Amino acid sequence: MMRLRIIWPAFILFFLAGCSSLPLEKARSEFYSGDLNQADYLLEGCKGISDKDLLLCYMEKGLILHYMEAYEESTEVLLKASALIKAQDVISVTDQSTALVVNDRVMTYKGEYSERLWVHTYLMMNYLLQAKYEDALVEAKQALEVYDKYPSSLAGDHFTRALTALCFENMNLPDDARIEYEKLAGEMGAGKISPETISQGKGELVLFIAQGRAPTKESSDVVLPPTIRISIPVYRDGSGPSSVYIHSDNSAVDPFKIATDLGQVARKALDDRSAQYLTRQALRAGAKEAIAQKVGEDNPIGEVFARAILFILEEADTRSWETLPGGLTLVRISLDPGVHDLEISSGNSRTIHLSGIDISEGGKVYRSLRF
Amino acid sequence: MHRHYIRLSMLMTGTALLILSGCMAYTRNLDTKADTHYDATYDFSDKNKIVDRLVTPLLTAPAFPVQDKPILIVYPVVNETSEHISTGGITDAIRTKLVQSGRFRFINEGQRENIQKESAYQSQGYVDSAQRIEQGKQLGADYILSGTLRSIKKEQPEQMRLYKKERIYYSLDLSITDLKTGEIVYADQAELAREAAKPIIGW
Repeated sequence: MMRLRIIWPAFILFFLAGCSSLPLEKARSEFYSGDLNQADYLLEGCKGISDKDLLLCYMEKGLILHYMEAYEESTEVLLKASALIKAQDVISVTDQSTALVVNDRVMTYKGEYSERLWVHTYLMMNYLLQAKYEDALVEAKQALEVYDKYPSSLAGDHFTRALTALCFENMNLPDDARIEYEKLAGEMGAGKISPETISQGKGELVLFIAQGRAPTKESSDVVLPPTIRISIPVYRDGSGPSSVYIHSDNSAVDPFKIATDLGQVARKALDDRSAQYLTRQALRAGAKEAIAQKVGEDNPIGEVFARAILFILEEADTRSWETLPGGLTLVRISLDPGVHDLEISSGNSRTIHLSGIDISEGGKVYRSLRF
Repeated sequence: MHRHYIRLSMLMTGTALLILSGCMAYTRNLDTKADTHYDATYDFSDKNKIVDRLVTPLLTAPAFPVQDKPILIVYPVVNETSEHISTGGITDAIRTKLVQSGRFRFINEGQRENIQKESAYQSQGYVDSAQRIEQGKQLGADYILSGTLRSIKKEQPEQMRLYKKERIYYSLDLSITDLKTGEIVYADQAELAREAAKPIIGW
C-alpha cells in the first residue's frame, strides 16, 4: 500500500516532466538536413505539440516558412507567436507550483527575451519582403518595446536595431530613423552610423543574410550532498556571423553592413534571467528535501526511492528556438537602375548567386538569404 | 472510510466544475454602437467613435458650401501606431457616411484598374456599340481626403503590484487637400485614450 502511494505520484511526476515534443525535434532535424517542406509538414497546425511548447512551434514554423520564401504564411504564424507571448505574460500559479516539485521543463515556454525580440525581427523582414512598409513599421515599434523592456539583455542586437531604422526610413520618418542610428552607434561604440543615402538616380538592394546555427541549450549540473541536484541551462556550440563578400556584375562592392551574433545576444539574455531560475532552483531544492524527509518519516526505503526520483526529475529547461541562425547581417547596396547579377559569399561557405535583380530609380529590392 | 469520503467528494467536485465550465461557453450578438473593450487596444467601438467624431463637423464645414457637391478621392490613412490596424475600415466608414449625406461625391480609386479592364474589354468588339461605355468621361477629383493614425502607449513601470496597467492614446488626423492648389482646406482630429489593467498572476 505504501509502495503504491509512492509509485503513482512518481508516475505522474515522470509524466509531467517527460513530455518532450517529438515533432519539433524531427522538424528541426529536417530543416538542418535541407528538407524544408518536410520540416513544415511535420509542424502542420502544430498538432502533437504540447500546449506548453506552442510558442516554440509557432517560432520554428514561422522561421521555416520564411526560408521557404512563404512570407505571407510565415507572417501569419509569427503573428500568432507574438500574440501568444503577450497572452502568456502572466505568472501562472499552476506552472510555478508544478515547477516547484518537478522541474522548469513543465512550465509553459514563454520565450527568452532575445527570442521575443526575434519574432518581431522576422516579422519586419517578412513585411519588407512583401513591400508592406506600414506593417513593417508596426513590428519595428513592437521590437522597440521589447528593447525598452530588456535593454541590457538586447543591446547587442545591432541587426534588429538597424532594421527598425530602415523601417522608419521607408515610412519617411527620418528623425525616428536618426534616433535609432544614434542608439546603434552608442551600442556599437562607434562615432556615427548611418547608411549611404541613395543618391539621385540610384536604387538599393537590401539583403538579410543569415549564417550558421544558433547555439542550443544544455543542462549544466552541480550535485550537492546528500541528493541535491542543481541543473541550469547554458548555451553551447552555435556559429556566429562571418564576413560577407559581395560582387555585383563581377565587381566587388563594399556596402553598408550591420551584423549580430545571435548566440552572444541569447547568452546575455539567459544570463540576465539567471536570478529567476536560480531562485526557483533553491526553492525547489528545499521543497524536494522536505518531501523526501516526509516520506522517510514512515518509510526509510521509501525515502531513498523518493530521493532518487526527485533527483532524476531535476533537469534544466533546455528548450529554445533552434532553427535560428547563428548570425544575421543587414546589407544595403546602392545600385544603378537596371538588372543586376550578384554573388554573395561568406567565409568557407558556399556562394549564393542572385540573378536578374531589377533595380528601379529610388526603389528598394529586398532579399533574404541563408548560408 | 473518512479518507475515502474526502477523495470521493473531491472527485465529484472536480467533475462538477468541469461540467459547469463547459456550460459557460456561449455565443451572442453585440450591439456595434455599444462601448465594449477587452483591453486598451483599438477595437470596433473606437472605429465608430472616430468616424462619428470626424464626419459630423465635416458635414457643416464652411469650406464646403451646401450648394456645392465637391468630388473627393480617398487616399489611405497611414497607420503609424504600434498595432496592425486596418485603417481601410476607417476610411470606408467615413466615405460611406459622407456619400449617404449627399453633400459629397467620391471617386472610387480602388476600382480604377477594374474600370480600365472592363472599359478595354468593351472596346474590343465584344459589346454592342450602343451599350459601350464612352471613354474619357470619368470625374476628376477636386480634393484628396487623407489622414494619419498615431498612438502613444505607456505601461506602468515595474514595481510590486497585482495588476499591470497600460494606457494607450490614439489620434486620427484627417485632412482635405485642394488638388488644384495643394492647400489644406480642412483639417480635424479625433482622439481617444484608454487605460486597462491586467492581473500579473493567473492560473
